[in-house]
Amino acid sequence: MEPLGLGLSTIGLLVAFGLLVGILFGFFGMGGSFLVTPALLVVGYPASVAVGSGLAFVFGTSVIGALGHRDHGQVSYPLAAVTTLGMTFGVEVGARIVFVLAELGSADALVSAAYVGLLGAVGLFVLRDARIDDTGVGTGRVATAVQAIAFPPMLSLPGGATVSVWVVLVVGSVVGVLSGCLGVGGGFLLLPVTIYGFGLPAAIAAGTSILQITVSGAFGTFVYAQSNAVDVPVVAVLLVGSALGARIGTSATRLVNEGDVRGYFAVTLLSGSVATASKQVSVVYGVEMLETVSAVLIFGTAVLVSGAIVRASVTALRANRQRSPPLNH
Amino acid sequence: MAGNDMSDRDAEFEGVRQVSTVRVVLLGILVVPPSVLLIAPVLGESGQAAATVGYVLAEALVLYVGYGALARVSGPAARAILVRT
Repeated sequence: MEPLGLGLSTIGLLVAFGLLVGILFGFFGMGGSFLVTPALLVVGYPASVAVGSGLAFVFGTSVIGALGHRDHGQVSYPLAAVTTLGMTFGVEVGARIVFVLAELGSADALVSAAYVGLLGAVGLFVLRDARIDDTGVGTGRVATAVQAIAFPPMLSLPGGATVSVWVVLVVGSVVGVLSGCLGVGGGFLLLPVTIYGFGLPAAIAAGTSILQITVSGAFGTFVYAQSNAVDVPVVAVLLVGSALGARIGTSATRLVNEGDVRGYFAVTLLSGSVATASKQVSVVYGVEMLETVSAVLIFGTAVLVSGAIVRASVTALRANRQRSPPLNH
Repeated sequence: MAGNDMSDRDAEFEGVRQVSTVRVVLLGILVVPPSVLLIAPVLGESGQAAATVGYVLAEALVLYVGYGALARVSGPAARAILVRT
């Protein structure tokens, strides 16, 4: 029996991996494509399919996230509209770059190399952030500098700030190119830019960036699907797990201090970087053992870190219950 | 007393928002997949791509409503883990 053309064991593994990714990224407030696209590369998908499926996964998770934020009314629609315009242009450019590279036969190596660098850089940044807490230092200066660029038309933002439409378009295009090339949502760039660059309150920035990612994710899925580069069954099964995992991860933020496990998250990203690199080395030099190492690294660390979050949540729930025993009526 | 009235009104407003979201989601589920299936064959390659987008959208909407309902009907311990903040 092969529902969706996948074996039952493959479906089980994909649901489990989606669940782990959902817990991790629901807890840390990211979309999850950071691990999904490298994981698809590690298990042997061509770069264009890994990126296209990654974008479809981003689209699905961001629809669910955007609906959650809509319940709380935390979206700046004018900013979302202008950024999305830039992002869709960037996604189209990024997708064309990947297809040209695929024709030249170097897409797998270059997309993998980009992931090694990106996961490594973000992992090191998170690790540094976990060790020293210097949030807010110099961020006011960045916002002032960005808002000083006064090329009309200007866009009024919630919180009273104004920013040039051209600046928003350029930011959207850059994030879009990255998204189209690597299959990531781009929230890791959009969030800091909207908070520290545009001066938007954090809650509205989160809701707005998730809406932007939804639209650009839909467009990216469309562009890649036109070239038959989206594995719909794999995305469908991953979404089942990740939608549940994201709920668990999000509610865990009430129970577990993010700072306590942020170091583990950095390790997950760094091991994703090492896994992608070792997969490429195994392909180039034909070392089969490295292929196993890359799979163990990417899936093993996801299990360990999301397991640590769930364990800490359950411990916190038990402690809460012991502190406030149920009332007898 | 005034504080209580305010919080009651806030809770009621939040409830109305939640209901309207569920209504939009259910309407989306009813409208999006049949529309995509009807239009897809006419548009060829672009239609297949639109069908893929529609499929992912429909699945996300179903999962949003489904897991939301699961969280509502589950026991207190499971609800503490499944309910979004």
